Amino acid sequence: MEKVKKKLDFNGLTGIITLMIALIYGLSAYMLPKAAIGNPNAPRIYPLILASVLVMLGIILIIKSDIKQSIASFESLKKEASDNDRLNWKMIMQTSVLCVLYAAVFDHLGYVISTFVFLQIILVIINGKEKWKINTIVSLFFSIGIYIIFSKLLGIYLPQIPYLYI
Amino acid sequence: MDVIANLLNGFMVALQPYHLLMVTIGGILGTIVGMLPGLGPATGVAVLLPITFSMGPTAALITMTGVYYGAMFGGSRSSILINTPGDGAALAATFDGYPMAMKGKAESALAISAIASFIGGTIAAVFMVALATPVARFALKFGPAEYFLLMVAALSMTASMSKNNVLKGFISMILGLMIGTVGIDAQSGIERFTFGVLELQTGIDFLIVIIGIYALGEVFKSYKVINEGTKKAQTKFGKIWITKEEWKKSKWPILRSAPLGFIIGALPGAGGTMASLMAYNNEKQMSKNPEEFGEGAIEGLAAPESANNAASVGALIPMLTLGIPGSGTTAVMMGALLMLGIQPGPLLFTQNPDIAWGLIASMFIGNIILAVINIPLAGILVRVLSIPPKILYPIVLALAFVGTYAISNSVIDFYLLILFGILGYFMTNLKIPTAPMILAAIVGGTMEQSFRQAIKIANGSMNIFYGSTLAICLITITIISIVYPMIKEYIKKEKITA
Repeated sequence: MEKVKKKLDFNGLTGIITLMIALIYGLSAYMLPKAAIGNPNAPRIYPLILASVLVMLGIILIIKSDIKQSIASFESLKKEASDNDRLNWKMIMQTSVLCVLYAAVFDHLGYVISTFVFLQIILVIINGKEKWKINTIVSLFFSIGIYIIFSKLLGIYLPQIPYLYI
Repeated sequence: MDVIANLLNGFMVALQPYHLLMVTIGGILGTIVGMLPGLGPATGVAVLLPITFSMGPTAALITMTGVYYGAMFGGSRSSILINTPGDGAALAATFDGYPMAMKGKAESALAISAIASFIGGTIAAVFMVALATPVARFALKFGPAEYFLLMVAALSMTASMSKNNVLKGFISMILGLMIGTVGIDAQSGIERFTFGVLELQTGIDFLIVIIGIYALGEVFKSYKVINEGTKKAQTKFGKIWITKEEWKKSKWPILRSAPLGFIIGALPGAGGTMASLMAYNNEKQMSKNPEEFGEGAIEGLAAPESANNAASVGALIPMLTLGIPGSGTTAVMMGALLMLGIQPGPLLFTQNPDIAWGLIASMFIGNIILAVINIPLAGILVRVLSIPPKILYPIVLALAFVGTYAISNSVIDFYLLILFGILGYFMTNLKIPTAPMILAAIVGGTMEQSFRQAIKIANGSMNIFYGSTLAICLITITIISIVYPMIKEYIKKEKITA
C-alpha cells in the first residue's frame, strides 16, 4: 500500500490547475478599469506581473511532470481507495456542507442556538451517535460558555437569541 | 545602556500581576491546544487570538506570547507521550522522546524537554536583546525599493526551502500574493477582484486565511488520524525530574543547540523544524554513542528541544524589526500585532518601545512560567491527551468560527474560512506547502505598495531596483535562493545516475 501511495504524482494536474488560475486571474487583471489619477495602468501592472510569473511556473510544472502519470494516479486513487479514505472524504464533505449551513443560519438563530446545533451534528459525524450524552453536554456547555465569555466578559458582540434578546 | 534601561522598563511592564496572570492563562491554554495532534503554535495563536480583543495591546501581546510558548511546550508533550508531534518543529522530539517514554522514562523525558526548552528560549532571548536594536536601526535605511526587494528575498527564501518541491513553494507564494491584491486599491481607489462582493472591498483578512488553513485544514487532515484510531497516553507519573547523570549528558547539547537554533530561526523560511532537525543530526554526529540515538538517548531529545525554542525566538527578529514574518507561526503573531493596531517594523522600536520591549521581557518571563507550569503540573496537563480528539476537534472548529466572527463581525468571512480550509486540505494533498502562501498573503499588500512607491520615486523607471548596493545585495540573495536548490537537485541526480 505504501509503495503505491509513493508513486502517486499529481504534478501534471497541479500544473494545469495553476495555469488555469493564472490565466483567469491575469485576464481579470487585464480587464480592470484604468486609474483616473496617476499612471492609468498602475493598478494592474503588479497583478499582471504576478499572473505572468504564475503562468510560467504552471508551464514549467507541466513540462517537468508526466501527465499520464497524473491521470493514472487519479484512476488508481479512485480504484484503490480504502474504506478509511472514503470515510475521510465523506466526513470532510459533510463537515464542509455543515459549515456552510452554520454560516447561513448564524445571524438568524443567534450564536447559542446555531452553535449548539452545529456542534451536535459535527459531534455525531466525528464522535458517533451512540455517544449522544457526552455530545449534548459538550455542545451545551461550549455554546453557552463561549457566549457568556465573549459577549459578557470580553465585550465582543455575538448574535443574540432571536425574540429573547439575551 | 539604552538597551538595558529599555529592557528593565519592559520587565516592569511584564511583571505587573495582571500581565503575569495573563501570560500564565495564555500559557496553559496554548499548552492544551499545542498538545492536540496536528495543531501547533500557529493554530494555537490563530484560534486563541479573540480572547485578547478586549485587552490593551500590551496585555494582549503578552497573552499571545504565553500562548505561543505554551503551544510549543505542549507540542513536545504529545511528541513524547503519543509519538504525534503538534507541528513540524516538534517532530524531532519524537525520535528519542517517545522511545524514552516507552522505556518507562517519561518523567525524565518530560522534564528534560521543559528544561531544554527553557534554557534554549532564554539564551535566544538574550541574543534577541542584543540584536533587535541594531537590526531595526539598519532597517531604517531601507527605501521602498529596498523594502520591496527585501520582501522578495524573504519570500523566495521561504519558498525555496519548502520540502518536496521548490516549484510548488513558489506557486504557493504567488497565490498568496494574489490574495493580497483583492480589495480596493489604496492608491487609485479601483476595486480589484471583488466580484461585486461588498465585504471583499476591504480585502481578504489574512487572519481568515490563517485560521482557515491552520484550524479547518488541520481538522480535515486529522480525520484520517481519528479514523485510524489514536494512541492512549500515559497519564500517571512519578516525580517529573531528571537525574544528575542525565543532566550531565544533556547540558552541552542544550547549550550548543541554542545559538544554532537562534540563527536558523532568524533566517526567513528555515524556522523551528529545520533548526530542531539540524540540532538532532549535529548531536548524533558529535556523540560517542550515535547508535543510542533513536533508542531513547536523552541528548537526542534535549538538543532539538533547545534549538526549537531558540528558533522560535530568533524567528521573531525579522518579524519585529523588519515587519517580515519568517514562518507560519510568526506570521500569525504578526497578524495578532496588526490586529491590535501595532505595525511591526523598524519604527516599532522607536515609536512604541514599551510594546517592543514589553514583548521581549515577557519572553523571558513566559519561558520561566511555562517551565514552571510544565514540570510540576505536567501530570495534570497531559490529561488533556486522554480527552478523546473526537471531542476536541469539533471544539477547535467551533473556536475557529467564533474567532472569525470576532475579527470581522461578518458571516461572509465564514464562507471564506471554509474555502481556505478546503484549499489548505487540497494543497497538503497535492504536496504544495502552505507557509509561503500565508506569508505572502500577509506582506502582499505592503509589497505591492512599496513596489509602486519605488517606481513613482524613480519617475516610472525600474532602475531604482538595482540602484543601490543594498538593492544589489538583496537581488543576489534572491537569485541564490532560487538557483541553489536547482543546483542541489542537479547534483543529486548526477549522483544517482553516476
